[in-house]
Amino acid sequence: MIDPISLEVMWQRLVAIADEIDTATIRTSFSTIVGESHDFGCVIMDAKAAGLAQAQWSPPQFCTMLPRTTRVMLEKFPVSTLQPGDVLATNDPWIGSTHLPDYNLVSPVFHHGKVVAFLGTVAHVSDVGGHLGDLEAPDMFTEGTRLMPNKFYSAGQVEPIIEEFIAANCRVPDMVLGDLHAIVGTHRIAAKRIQDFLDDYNLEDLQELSDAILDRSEQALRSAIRALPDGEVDYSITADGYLEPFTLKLKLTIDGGTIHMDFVGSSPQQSHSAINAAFNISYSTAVYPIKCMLAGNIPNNDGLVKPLNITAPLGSIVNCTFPAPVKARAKVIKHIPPLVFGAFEKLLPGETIAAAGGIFPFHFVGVDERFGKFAVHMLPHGGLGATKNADGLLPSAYPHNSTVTPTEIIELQCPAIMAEKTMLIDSGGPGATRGGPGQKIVMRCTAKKSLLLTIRPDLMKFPAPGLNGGADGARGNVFLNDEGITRFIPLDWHPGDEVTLVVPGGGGFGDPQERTKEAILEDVALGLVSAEAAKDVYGVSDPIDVSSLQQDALKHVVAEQKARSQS
Amino acid sequence: MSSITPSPRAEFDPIELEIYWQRLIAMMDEVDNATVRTSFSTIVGESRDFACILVNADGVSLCQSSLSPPNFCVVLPRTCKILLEHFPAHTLQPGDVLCTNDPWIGTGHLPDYVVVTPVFYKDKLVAFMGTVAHLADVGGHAGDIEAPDVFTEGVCVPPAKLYQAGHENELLFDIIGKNCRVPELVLGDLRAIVGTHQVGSKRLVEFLDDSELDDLERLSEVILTRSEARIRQKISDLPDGIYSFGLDIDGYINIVHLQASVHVRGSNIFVDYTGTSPQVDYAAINCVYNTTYASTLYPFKCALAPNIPNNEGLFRPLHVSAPEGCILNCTFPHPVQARAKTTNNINQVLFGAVWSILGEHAQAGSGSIWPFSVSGEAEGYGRFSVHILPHGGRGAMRNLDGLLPIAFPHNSSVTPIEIMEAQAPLLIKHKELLADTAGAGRTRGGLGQRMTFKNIGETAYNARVRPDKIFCAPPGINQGHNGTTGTVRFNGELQERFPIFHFAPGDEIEMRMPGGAGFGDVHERAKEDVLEDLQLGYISAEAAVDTYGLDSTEEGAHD
Repeated sequence: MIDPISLEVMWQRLVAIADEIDTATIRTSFSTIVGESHDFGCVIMDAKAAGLAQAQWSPPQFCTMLPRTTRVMLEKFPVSTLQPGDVLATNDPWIGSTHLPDYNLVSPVFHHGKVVAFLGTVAHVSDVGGHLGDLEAPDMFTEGTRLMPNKFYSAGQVEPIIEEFIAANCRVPDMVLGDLHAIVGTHRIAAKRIQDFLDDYNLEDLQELSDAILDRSEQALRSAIRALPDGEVDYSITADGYLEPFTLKLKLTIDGGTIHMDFVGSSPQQSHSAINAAFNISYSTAVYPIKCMLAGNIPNNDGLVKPLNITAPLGSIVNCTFPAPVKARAKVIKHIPPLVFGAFEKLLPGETIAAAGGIFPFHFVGVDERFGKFAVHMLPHGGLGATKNADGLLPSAYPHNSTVTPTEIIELQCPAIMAEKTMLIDSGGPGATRGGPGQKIVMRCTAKKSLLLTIRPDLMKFPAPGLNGGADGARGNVFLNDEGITRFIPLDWHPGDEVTLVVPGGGGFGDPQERTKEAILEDVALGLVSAEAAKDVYGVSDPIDVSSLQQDALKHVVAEQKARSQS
Repeated sequence: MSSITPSPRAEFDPIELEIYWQRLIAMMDEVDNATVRTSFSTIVGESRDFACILVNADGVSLCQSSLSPPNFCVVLPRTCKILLEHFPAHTLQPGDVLCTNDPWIGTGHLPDYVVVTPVFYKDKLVAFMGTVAHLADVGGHAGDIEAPDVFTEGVCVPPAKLYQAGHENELLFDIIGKNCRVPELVLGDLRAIVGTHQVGSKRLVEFLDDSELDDLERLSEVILTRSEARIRQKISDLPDGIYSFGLDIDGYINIVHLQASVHVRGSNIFVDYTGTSPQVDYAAINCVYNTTYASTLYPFKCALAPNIPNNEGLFRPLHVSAPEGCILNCTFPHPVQARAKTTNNINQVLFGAVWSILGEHAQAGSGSIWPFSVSGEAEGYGRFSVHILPHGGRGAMRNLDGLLPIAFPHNSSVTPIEIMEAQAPLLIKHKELLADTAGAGRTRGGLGQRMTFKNIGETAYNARVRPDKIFCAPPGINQGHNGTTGTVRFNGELQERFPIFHFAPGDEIEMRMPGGAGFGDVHERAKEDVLEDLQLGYISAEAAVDTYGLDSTEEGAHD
């Protein structure tokens, strides 16, 4: 039996080791999508491949999926056959994290000749071949190359066939292999840290610690679930999709210490658009909001998924079958958290969050004499949804942890400049608490010859819904040289062309009429809400003098800064 | 008592040589036949889009199966030599099989897999069995002509060992199988090919036993030097000079210009393509050098040494250059899938340049190949992927009317309608010759044909068409008229771009394939030939009168 203080100390040390993998990955990776956008996750698993700890910055879905992926890989490569220096890998969408760019790398950690843990990293690599498109594909084969579970390294030696195959089938082999080898390096560091850890505590393996972490986490979540009234609720969301909208339906049942979530009735998978989600990602995305609501302070681990039972009909858009196209599955799964929160709002009022403005991934690919061959990704977001007690955050990642690639990095790596990046007035969904505002991004092509630009917008038809009487956020939009775009095949981006992304706002929470006048006027002063909206939407009846509000706000800021510099 | 060991043979008498040579060819025909009988796909089994070649221990080609597409046979030994750079001959062991589908190493697009098996005799590597086969799928986009780069077009397997000492490279099979839509067909074909190489290897060992040779070295030397000497003699007979010709071809979206300069000097021919259009990054019509080289050699081989079985000795006097970055020598990673759109026209620009010195062997422009395929999934058919390779009419030669729709410059056969209809929910509504499509001339071009396909299934699937000569007609020679241009109609509507068609139930695709071009002055055509064409319905009465100048009062002119 491990005492609570030792448990906490040891637990935090595992998290710190995962964080070290994370940092090492950023420092040694070759691509912006790994190094800057942080589109990767690092997990420590126990010897049975149960998720034990993750890096704090890791996207939550990756960490829930990776142990599932690992267990499938171990069916092909049983633990008993592994040796130090082995690294298992796959990017199969149905085994891994559900689209081809995500490579899953898993290394066994040995201590005294025995496997004591697995280190896992999922990383979105820059290119896996396939078409340059994104949303329009008839099947997965169009989307790139697939590696079924394999030994990327055997006893410390890279498998040449895998390496050559990856190199021959992607546009930026140095970047992709650089990232993959970097990840293998981070696993070596972490393996050493885990061995040090075991030595320090004089432990033979992690099993007792793992059992304690998983059991306690599970019990904590189960007791939070037991505190909820038993019952069944339904909720549904209809969203843009691509060529045609889709509907997600959720039947959520609280049954003692267990939550059942069933996607029965959701739209079928689509054969013309790459928005289909394989089950792993639907599962992990459904788990996430519950974890946030009911076990917000417990570091992620597989104990937290045990009380949750998730099902989706095979062949539905949240449990698609091989070889459906899957690359842009984020178009579907990003609607799962608002779906779960929408259902929960009826059970746990005030603990939920309204829908967010989503993510507008875009990337450039091309060749330029100044920049060489480049492939740059950026993941800008809309405003977050409001919660009962807080306005939605300004544009920031959700339900991902990915960061926005800084303008400076983009401009250093490809022939494009960021001509504008501004908050959009009146875009946050009105409510007692307001949705986060969306943003406008304008990029200009400074290349000498045209390059390829891929954009994947969302919420252009169906906005981010508000909750509990809150209004919807503003819709998104995309313009090429001021002309609206509705189909998102890779665009030829000519020198001088400007592309404008209008990234949507988040949904509001509660009746806008209940918003305090002080908050409304502050929004007006900050340029987030117009005087007209303050009057028409929020019902402010007094005349509003925008410029004096802004003057006051400026004075206030100056005064605050003075006070800060004096103290 | 010492046994009698045959001494290495210094020379072969002509009869012996012919017997040995023919036996090697017969052996490759057996490999070929085994490929047809054991393959899984229609493109290998029915369309014959593959070749079987015997390569000597140095990677030099000795002979091919009789029905092998000539281009493949010219390229395979080049590929074999590069494979041997990766896997040197002395490191190979019995049961090894090498392969690649790298377009720049192989035959210029990803579906063509090159598979090479070393053959050992008395512990010594004596030859290689080589096969190039167009496999049914290599992943990638379902499109064809429209692509920005080769990565879009599917999966590339760099030079690799498909088998090691008789053991399947499971990792490689897994990679290939998991990256294609029809793994049973693709892996089935690859395994079939490896099996045919075992048959061929066994036959070669028997041959060496029977002929009491230790290896193929001397025989190979004789075949190559004799063939080389023969074609050099024929080239020396041609008048020295520089012969140039330029030809506009359809290309895709934009017209492409091919410019050939043929320099005949002594017993060598130098072909240079300077002045040809640059490679493009929006259409998969670029040719790697290997394909250009092969497509250049073929018409000369046909004209100068039609009766000598293909071997590398015939290639040695022919030298081909094309500026790097032009559409006939494209650089990685330009898209190449539909390079036949360009290579099929190489013979026409060459014949345009040298027809006057090739006598009866030059051929006017042909109607080209129009690959058509459907793929999808349907009840009763499962997941299907069916290709056919129909052609337009052949160009006329000095003494011969152009053949009716038949493969050129390929040997590929047309998949029978019955096979297609059995494998996909597809009905072929028409397959007929088209009157008045052939270019007129002293000898007439071959007629074009019309094919109409209808989706008779209950669901939509993908259909791909890659027409040629819908803008630039097959060129006539020596005052012969051009053939006609072709058309593609989707539900009656004329098409100019050819991304994948979403082929819904009831939809129809009609392809009118071009007729071949004519050769020589139309007014020199024999009257009885014109009348016969008229009677056969190959030409209309109007054409007989207006084009061929038949007197409209002539008996039979209005039949």
